[in-house]
Amino acid sequence: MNELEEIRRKKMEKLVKEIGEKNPSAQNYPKAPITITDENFDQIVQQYPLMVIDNWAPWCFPCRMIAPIIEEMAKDYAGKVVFGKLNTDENQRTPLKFGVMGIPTLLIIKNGKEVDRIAGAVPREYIESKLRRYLHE
Amino acid sequence: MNTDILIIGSGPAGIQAAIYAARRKVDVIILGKLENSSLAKAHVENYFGISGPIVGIDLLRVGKEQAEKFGAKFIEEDALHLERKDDKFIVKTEGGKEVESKAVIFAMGVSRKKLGVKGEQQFQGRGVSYCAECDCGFFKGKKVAVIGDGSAAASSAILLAKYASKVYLISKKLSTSEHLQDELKVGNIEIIEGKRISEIYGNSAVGGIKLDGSSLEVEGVFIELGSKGVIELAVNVGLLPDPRGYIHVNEEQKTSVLGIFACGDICGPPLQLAKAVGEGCIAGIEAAEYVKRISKLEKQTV
Repeated sequence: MNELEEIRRKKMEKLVKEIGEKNPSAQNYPKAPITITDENFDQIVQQYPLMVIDNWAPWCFPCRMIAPIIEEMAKDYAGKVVFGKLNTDENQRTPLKFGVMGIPTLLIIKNGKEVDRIAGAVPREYIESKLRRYLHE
Repeated sequence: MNTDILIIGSGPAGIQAAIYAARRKVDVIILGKLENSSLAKAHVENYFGISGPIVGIDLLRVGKEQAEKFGAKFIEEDALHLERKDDKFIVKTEGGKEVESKAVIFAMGVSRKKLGVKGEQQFQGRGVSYCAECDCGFFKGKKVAVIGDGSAAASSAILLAKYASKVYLISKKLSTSEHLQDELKVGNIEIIEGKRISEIYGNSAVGGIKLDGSSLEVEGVFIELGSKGVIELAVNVGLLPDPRGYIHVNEEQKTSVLGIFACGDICGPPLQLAKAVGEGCIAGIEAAEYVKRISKLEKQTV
């Protein structure tokens, strides 16, 4: 298991480096999930080419189950994918616009457009398997 | 009602825990229905000493008698709610009972969550939900269906009735406490029994369900099979299952929350009788030791 982790980490470093060389500003991408609101949504999804936006609420227990995974992935994918968190209690317009009818829902946004979504609390591997496609495109 | 140890789940892990704890002279209450254990319908032939096959429910009945002989009390009801009050835990049952306990053992197993019908996967997060508490707010003034036969379905329908304009509770045969049945008598809840759901349909989101060929228009479908699962009960007391829904324990079957132990299938694979029983033994012993320790401390401080 540790060995696999190590291989994955090294591969990731290499990929991040390659992307960094192609796109120098990527090095300044946030390494922790950023807060998304109805107000800043449009601006932020234009700013970063690939994003995962976690629609959540504080009282939703499956949301709390995947929260640590999102934190972890934001760090591991820093420079490649930017992770955001949108509180659906405080921001209702964006979920409505995207037809989000359950939480947690992860929206995968590429160049400002939704390309995929994941509903429910799922393991990290599942999120990664979905993301992979958009990383290499 | 007060007890030293409350065990949620009366499968092999819970019953074995009850046997070991009760023999250590502490008060034990065990919640759950034998026939809901995944062992009940299984044919056992890989368990030590049983060349079988023997039907699981027979083993469970013998186990229950054993546990009762040593003083454990059974309440054949599901747990609906769990909370912490000071240094005790309070469980509310589907029959409206409240049990206060010093320690809790989670032994509720893992239940099937998915229905397995056409459209279910496609519309997950677009009208199909497995968590009424999480998603009720998205269905204000809309028509929804709740699918299930047990206490989870009934309690979800009661919650949803406060948000939705209409709640159809669809079950093969509803089997829940009288207390919950009474609470279901709300104007906007309609119980449809004996019909089978064959499809969830829609375009970009859920538009309705097919019931034995006929269509029922709804915008939400809540799938709530069996009894309340570990996630719903655990999170209130600060215990977080992993994303697969399993609870992590140490070698003493202790969870990350003081006073809560877990054993059996909810701790993860292999989902086997032998493992459940082994973990139940440890959980029973450790919970009894824990209760004795804190009772001694209480006496010293008084």
